[in-house]
Amino acid sequence: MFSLVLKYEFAAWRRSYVRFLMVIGMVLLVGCIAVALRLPIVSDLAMILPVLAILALPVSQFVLVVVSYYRSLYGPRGYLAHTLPIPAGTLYAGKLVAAMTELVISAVLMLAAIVLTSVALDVAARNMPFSGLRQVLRIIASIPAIGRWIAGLGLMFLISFVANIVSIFFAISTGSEARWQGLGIGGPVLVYVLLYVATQLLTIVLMLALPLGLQIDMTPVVLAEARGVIAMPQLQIVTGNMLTAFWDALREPNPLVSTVGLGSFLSAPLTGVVCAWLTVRSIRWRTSLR
Amino acid sequence: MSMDDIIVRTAKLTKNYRGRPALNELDLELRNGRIIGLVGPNGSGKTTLLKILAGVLADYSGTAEVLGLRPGLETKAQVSYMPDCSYLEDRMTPNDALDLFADFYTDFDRRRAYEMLLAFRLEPTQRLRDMSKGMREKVQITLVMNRAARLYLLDEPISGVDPASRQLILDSILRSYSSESCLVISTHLIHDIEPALDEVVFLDRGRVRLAGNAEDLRAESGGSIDQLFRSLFQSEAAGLRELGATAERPGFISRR
Repeated sequence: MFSLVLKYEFAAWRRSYVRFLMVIGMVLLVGCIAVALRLPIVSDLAMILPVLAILALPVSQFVLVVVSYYRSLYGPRGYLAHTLPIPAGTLYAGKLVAAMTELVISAVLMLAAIVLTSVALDVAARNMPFSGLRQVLRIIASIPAIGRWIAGLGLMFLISFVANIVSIFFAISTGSEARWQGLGIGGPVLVYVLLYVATQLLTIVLMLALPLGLQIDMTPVVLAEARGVIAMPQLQIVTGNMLTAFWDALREPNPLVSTVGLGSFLSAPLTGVVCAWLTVRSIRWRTSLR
Repeated sequence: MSMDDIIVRTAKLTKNYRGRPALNELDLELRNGRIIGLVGPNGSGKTTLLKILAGVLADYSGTAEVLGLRPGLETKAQVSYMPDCSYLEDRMTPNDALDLFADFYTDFDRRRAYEMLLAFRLEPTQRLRDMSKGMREKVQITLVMNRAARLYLLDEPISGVDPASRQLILDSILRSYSSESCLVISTHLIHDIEPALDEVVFLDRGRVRLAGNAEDLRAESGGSIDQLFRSLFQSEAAGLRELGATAERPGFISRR
């Protein structure tokens, strides 16, 4: 059943998005060619086209994911989705995995668009293609312990990315239940705002409650800047009462060294798990189509 | 008549929309092997009842059972529901829709559905967005009626269809219907479906006002079901007249 849900999710995505992608591709191509040709005035003005295309890819995909979730479950198409003999968890998991995959695809396409634009700029500057990109990669590679930074930041980004989509799906499903229906689209919006406030409060509580912190020392960054190179902050896991650390930071702020309670990093996965469970419950027992 | 024959049972089923009851302690039992007409004026609760039985409307009180179970995953495999709106994606073709039903419903007969599409003179590869409302309804009827379900719930299945096509659709519905199941049709077009009905349930303000065998009802009232409907709900029109409403032109009502 899960693979069937995925199959039809991707089929719907293909039907609604591929034509739009082709338009974006055309805009990108025309913009890059115009930039590479170095035509007076036109090339400068045409630079806006690749920029627009690069921005449009993730933004449009994100909007499509949100709108498609709402319309396929709570618009007229919901009458089909909710009468298919699919367990609520399977339906939800299929929609979630499809949405993630589509967003990753749009991110990869965005990277490809950035590479293409960089090549066009190289050609316009009479440099070897990819020379600009190589330079950027060289700078990044020169940063000490960059692998660990990329892995750490990547993991954090992945968790918050998944948690965000899960939160939005939760807001749409819960906000479409009978008790919020009188508000129309305001139901999901209101639920999302309430969830955001609750998540922020939870983050603060977890940050202060867990006696584990991440000390961020910006001294290497400042020193490296003075030498004209790039460095990353020095990180150290510290233990102790985070409430005291928080209070100290408020009393005597130190611009170079700060401590973040590691408990705050638990907020996103915790919220994500709870929201996913509540969403499946909502789909299963509380669906009320208008 | 055994309890096994009961396919739908509701007890004190109540559903409110912002405090206004759409279903008001509705008690109803529908049995196997019947074609049942669910009729009543606007707002009588027909669509709400079908939605609850189809499992797309929660947040009700009282009991609703399909095959002895609360509407949910298990009943969805046994219920074939057609809502009063188009639930297929605009960019789909009838062929895509047949594939979808064949994939998700093990009881769907794709070959027979394809034949029905052709009988309706529909183009299997035409996109739904290029079809009229009536044509889309025919596609949905094709999908819903070619399942071997235990309960069919059709909400206004012929409302958007021209009079000439109505008979064709009704014939197709009756051909697809098996006596092992129960078919509930909600409609205002009573005259058109009357010959096919075994039983009729008249709903009024969320309650059963009258229910029974179609033949018996006709014999008791001395007229057709359509005439019985008009006489039952004529009090509404009388109420309007008492309020000083007058029909100046057909279809236009204004206060004096």
